[in-house]
Amino acid sequence: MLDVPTGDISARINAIVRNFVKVGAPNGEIRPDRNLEELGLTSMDMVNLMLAVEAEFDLTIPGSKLMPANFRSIERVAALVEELTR
Amino acid sequence: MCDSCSSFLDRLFARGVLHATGVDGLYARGECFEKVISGLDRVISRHGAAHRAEIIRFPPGMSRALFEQSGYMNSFPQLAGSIHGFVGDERDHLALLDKIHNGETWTDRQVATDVVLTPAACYPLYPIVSKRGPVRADGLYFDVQSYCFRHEPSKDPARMQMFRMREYVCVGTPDQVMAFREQWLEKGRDFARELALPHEVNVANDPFFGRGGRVMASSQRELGLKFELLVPIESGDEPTACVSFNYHQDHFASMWGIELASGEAAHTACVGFGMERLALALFKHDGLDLDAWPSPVRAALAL
Repeated sequence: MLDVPTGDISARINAIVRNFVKVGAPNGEIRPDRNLEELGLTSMDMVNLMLAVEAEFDLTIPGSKLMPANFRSIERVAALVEELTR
Repeated sequence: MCDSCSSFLDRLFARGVLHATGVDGLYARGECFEKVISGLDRVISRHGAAHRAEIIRFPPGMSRALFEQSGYMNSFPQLAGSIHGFVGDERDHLALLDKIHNGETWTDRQVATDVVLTPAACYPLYPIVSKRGPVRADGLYFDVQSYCFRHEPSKDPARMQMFRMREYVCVGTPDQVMAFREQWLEKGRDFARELALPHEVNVANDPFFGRGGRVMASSQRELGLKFELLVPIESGDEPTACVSFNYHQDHFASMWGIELASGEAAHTACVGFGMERLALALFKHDGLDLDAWPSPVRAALAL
């Protein structure tokens, strides 16, 4: 299992998410609790975010976790990654 | 043929309602089936008359380039069908005939044409609408129909690979298209009641492909983007979707550059009638003899 510091996870997810958000075109950090759908993240973007997170952390997200709620904010994605890499 | 020991599909074949072709989900239609389809078309037209919709009928194939642009392959690659053709000289032709004669694979040298099979009746519509400029203030309404293809061979007669889909499509502001869909959720129930079909309307999702598709499907259900009018045909426990009510948000309009006068992306919604499924639902519930169908149903369908 990976042993990635929590802050690291959030920062790496932040970098991935910036590739997908459309509204506000944030070049800087996105607040971890910010609703990504409000930043233009579509359901297809969520799928691509899921795949990018799996590639970045070398993990497979189980089917039971593949729900929009787990991809709506950076902190939710980070919590999922922490759970799966614990 | 005994009703209790043969399948619904076998009985449809035995009575000439449908004719087998050797491929599951690909059937010829008999005269009585087509009479019902014509009747359903009339009933649907009556329910949709208030829209004064522009009528467009599509062939069963659409432009491969537009299909690729539509994003269908992102979500439903498992259902898509493309049309390939022979390209070659006389030597290639002889080789092709040899392969067929010897029972070998002959399709591997076929080349993709510019045509794919239409996956849904409204897919070829949006590129047409996009060329017309900004959407007028009172919205646009279309009445479209196409034979559609889904690669999902099945013994369930209600899961055909090629079937007709009739749709009403609304293009406009979010309020306009939501009002359109709400109207049709009610009209859809009226439609089923008029035909005396047992039914329920439930939230639904499209059959998105793969693991990512689970996210798409959950999101679609959470947002209430799709509802279906379900009628028991092959199974009472798992009734069949015969009509769907879909709110696309700005998905298609953004993709095709369909804009309101304000410059914002339009929103779209559609109601889709699975013509074969509706006909099969009637044959299932009213029997295979049209003359014995209940008078109100015959009257509604003008049989």
